[in-house]
Amino acid sequence: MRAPATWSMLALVQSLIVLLLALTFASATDPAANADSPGSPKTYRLRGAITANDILPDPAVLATTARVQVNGGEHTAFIQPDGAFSVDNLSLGHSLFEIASANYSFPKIHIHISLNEQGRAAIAARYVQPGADWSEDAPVLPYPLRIAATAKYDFYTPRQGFSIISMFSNPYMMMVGASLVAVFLLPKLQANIDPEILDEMNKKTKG
Amino acid sequence: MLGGVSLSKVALSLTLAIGSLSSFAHGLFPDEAGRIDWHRAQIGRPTKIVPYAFNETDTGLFAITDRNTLASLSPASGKIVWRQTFGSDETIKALRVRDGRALTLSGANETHVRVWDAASGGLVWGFSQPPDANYRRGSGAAEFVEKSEDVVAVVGDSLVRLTPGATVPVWEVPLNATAAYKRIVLEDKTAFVVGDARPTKKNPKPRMQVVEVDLESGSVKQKYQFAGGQAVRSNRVVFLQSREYGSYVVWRDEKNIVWFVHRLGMSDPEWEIYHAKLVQVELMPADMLTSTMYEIDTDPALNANHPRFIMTYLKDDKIKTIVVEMYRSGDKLEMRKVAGFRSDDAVVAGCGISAPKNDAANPNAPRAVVSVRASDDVSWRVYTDSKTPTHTGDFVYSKDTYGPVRSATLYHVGGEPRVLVQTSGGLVAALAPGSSEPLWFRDESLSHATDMAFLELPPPVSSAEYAAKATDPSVLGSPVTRYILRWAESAKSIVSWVTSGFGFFANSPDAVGASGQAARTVAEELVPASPIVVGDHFGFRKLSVFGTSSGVVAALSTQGGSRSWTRFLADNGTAVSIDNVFVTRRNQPMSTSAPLVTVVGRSRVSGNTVVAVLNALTGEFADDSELTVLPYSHAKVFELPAVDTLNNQQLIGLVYRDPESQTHLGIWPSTASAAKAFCAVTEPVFFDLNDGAGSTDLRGFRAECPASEAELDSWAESSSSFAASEQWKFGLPEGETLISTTGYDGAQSTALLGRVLGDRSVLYKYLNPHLVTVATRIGDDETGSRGIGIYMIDRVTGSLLYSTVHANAHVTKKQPFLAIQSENRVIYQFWQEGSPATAEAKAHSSAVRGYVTVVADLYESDKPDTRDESRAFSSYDLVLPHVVTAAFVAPEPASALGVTRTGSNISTRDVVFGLASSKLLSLPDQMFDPRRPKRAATKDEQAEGLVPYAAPLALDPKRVLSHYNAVAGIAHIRAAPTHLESTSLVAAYGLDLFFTRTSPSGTFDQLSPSFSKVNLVVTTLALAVGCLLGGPMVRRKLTNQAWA
Repeated sequence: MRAPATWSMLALVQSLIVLLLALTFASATDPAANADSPGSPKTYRLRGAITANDILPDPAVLATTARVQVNGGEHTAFIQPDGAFSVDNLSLGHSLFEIASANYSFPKIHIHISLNEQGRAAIAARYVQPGADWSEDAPVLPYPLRIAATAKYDFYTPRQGFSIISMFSNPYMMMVGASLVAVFLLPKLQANIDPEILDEMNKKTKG
Repeated sequence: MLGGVSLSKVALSLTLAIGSLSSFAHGLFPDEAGRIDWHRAQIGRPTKIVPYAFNETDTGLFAITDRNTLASLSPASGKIVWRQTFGSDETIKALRVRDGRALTLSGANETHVRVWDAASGGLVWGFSQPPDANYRRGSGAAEFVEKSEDVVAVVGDSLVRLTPGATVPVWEVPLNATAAYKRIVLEDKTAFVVGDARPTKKNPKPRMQVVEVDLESGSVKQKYQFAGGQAVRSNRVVFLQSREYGSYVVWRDEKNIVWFVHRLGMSDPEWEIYHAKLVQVELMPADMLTSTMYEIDTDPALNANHPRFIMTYLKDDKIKTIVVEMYRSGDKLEMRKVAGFRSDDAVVAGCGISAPKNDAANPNAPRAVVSVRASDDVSWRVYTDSKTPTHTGDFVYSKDTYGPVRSATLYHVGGEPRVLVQTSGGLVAALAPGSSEPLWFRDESLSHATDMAFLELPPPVSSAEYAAKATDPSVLGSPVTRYILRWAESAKSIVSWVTSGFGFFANSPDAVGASGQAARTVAEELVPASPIVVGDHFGFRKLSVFGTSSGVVAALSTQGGSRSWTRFLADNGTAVSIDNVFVTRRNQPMSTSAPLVTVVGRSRVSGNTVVAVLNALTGEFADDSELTVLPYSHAKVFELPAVDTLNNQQLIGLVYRDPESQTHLGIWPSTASAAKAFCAVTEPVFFDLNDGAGSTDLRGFRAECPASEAELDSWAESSSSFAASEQWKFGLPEGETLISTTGYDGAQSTALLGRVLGDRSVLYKYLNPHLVTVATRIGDDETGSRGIGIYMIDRVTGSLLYSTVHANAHVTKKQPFLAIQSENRVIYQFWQEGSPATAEAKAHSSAVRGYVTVVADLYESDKPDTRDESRAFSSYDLVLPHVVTAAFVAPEPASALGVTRTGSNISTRDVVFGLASSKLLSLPDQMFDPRRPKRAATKDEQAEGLVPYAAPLALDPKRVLSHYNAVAGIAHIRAAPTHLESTSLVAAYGLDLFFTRTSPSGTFDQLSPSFSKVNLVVTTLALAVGCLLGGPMVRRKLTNQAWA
């Protein structure tokens, strides 16, 4: 049995810190962050929750179908029925945070765990766009993270039903239409032309 | 004229643009979902199944599996109620279910303790222990503390007490790496942690170690060792827990007929019990040494005052099983036999116990033992307190399909007992009294699939042809006769179609059971009466033959997934691990010889290579052959470009090293005719070889045929293999180790040798069948330098064709490297760290992290219309390819890569990603074109159909082939062409199975489902009627005009 003081050391190793970082990085931190951990490197815990919105009214549906993934699978975590999650054993530095869900789309988040001047750990989380640089200028998200689904995937393409317009926009139908015009309308136009002009035109073409 | 040309160019570019757009816009129609695809959710082979009664009526079955999945199964149907798939390296070591909560302990050094809601599968709370340098392999155990929501667990190198909601343990006891602790035994105020002590120089013998800890304070009361020669998990050790008497360990030394009983926490008393006294039968010592013990209940909440266990032993060569109950009065300990039964000719495969309800308050509730005998059929009996079984049943089952029964569990549904048997091949079947058919079964063998091959099935033969073949096969020799017969059959079909009301009341062809067969009963589905031997006209229905590491070879229809046959392969009773499946003889029209599959694997007994040749249609061994164990262990297997003319069988090459490290190429079949066929191939066979991941070089070999005919003739007698001479050695640069090598998957067909550019010039593709892409890991975590090297080499000469380095790339088991070659394109994906991975740099750099997909296109030259003019491609004429590359940001982490395949490769290809979010995403080939301009496209580029470059590959939901199916753990993606050029079959497997078909360029060669044949007929008829009616009218008008 270790002394209680040692417990707080372990507490640091296991879980951690992590604080509400407002835009200024000025953050309250877990006092345990100051303790040193012998042997193992310090690791940190990231907490957050998936919040309900119109797209995803009940985060409980994610409990058995989605996972939290950090750094493309280096760390994974399950999501509780109320949407809460915690990712353990993260190390200092930058990480990519994603929610891997089969049916819902979530924003990707850049997580930056750093130590401030007092040696306390702080987490800065920012939305990122795939393919874009990770800018430090983007607004920092409140901590613990609160993430909402951005879309529910619609996997299907509806079949186009019968439509008169699409039928007539078919090239074959247009060709048929043109033929009909040639057969029925042109003779009528010809009939309306003054016979004298017609003779003249015939002569011209013959000439 | 010039205007005409530009117009035609515009027209061409428009067509291409429309073509590419339509390709990008293609998606799945709602009515196709579930009709053109099928999904089978799997969990893996259960390592433990726990029945749990929620209340008087509701029972649940909870399983942890060797595919790291926790699942709740419906006791009535076996369907998955919910499942949670853990990480690939997170073995689940413990499962307890109590008070509507399921407790799991998973992982190795990084240990996770999680408590789940048993009804919904939601995570209630969890605790994670970071890696510990002192961790001893195999450690890990967890138990609920009685009358509390707390959990006691061995995590890493510590024993902890955890309470819900707290982020730190209530207390933690460091175990100091003295043993691999595998068991926790809880009493009211004490926890005993039992493990296998670490062998020391002084005491190298295995023994058990106990740490006794106070449950409240976490203080260590004592630490001691006992039971020399014993391990915690052994069939000669049982743990017994009694509310009244405390906790005991019973064991028998390996060559001893005495049973020892130890009361945990006390060095004295310790008892010795003689075998004969225990079973109250005189036995020969030799028979006593055969005895084994099984625990029948490991849930402390269920423990009775008089704990029980099962013992089996041999008497007169027959297996006897007894149920033993423990009593203690004062210092005396007594074991009483409560039930005993004899198995005449069979083995007790397993046993289990359960009360009709989990009634912790009533520890004396009736308890039952299930005995399963598995000789030819499975017969089972449930015993409570007497020799007479309370329930019995039989199950007609063949061990050749899923292997022998290895365990059994008893549970109750509505008070009725059910027996769950599990086989080593991965079958889980629920049996009920009085029925020889299972109530339900789950085939989990394919969750261990390692390889898969598609077998083309012959198109349906017309009944007229079939009749003709049956009566006089020679009739079908003439194509004219066959043509006439086919016409006759078509005429018959038209008549039957008309008489059936123009198909108004008939189902669509796809709707007639996706498998094309009528619905089967459970027993028929388990062992199909007739295998699937006929395909369809479009090539959609093929057989997919799977090889698994659990020893099962199974053939499934690609339509609907109906099982055609299953074969369990074992060497000396132990399942072999199958690595490769090859179709070595295809279905040939008008041929009487059956198609064959050759499976290659390894024996788990000797580690040597095993080969089996099976009839691909029935799964029977071909031509009375049997499983062959070769005298070597192969390093590589591949298809040889030769066919044994004697039996028309494709040859398989097996590369191995002899004890002198000489490399050889063995061939299969290893016959003289096969050897001659092999040596008759004009082109020599080259292959590359490495020592697997981590090796530092790659070598190229060439198989050498004997110089003379006579030597070749003697080949069969000596049954040796061909020598392989080393041609080249490709040493990796200092500090680099191999990750993987990627070659072409089967024969490649190419429709276009070049790529037509916008100005009508052609860029010729570099098509080298011997291209191998080698990926290496650069540096290691210790130095902090990370990266991967990519080398494209020629397998024949070993010459380096192209190389590149990706700094800061990181490859681990959790962040895998994936690669695929298709035509002249190499695609690979890796995790990009964004900065050098030193802790300091990692902390201070903010470069983007994510998965990167790199595409490299190989062309013969960078100049259009320039190509190698030699008539045949030769690796010796070293022409370095011109490589165009581009990198893209992958939309999501992927676990598998594949490419669609069509018959002639005229349709465009889709690149298929198996995503970690359980989706199968198919993206068009054009998206990966490295020639996509990184600025506004010029007219020529537009004409070529190039879309301006954008780094992110978007996840377009319309391109998710798996739609609403969550296809978990995709590890492999395979594709096969169909008879329609537009359409490719796509199969994804790993944990789940998912099959679908896709048309990357649209279904240009199929009628749309909305096309109405009835309308066509009605319109034609209407026109005919119009002509008939209009004809006389016109004639009359003309006549009248003539008279006028």
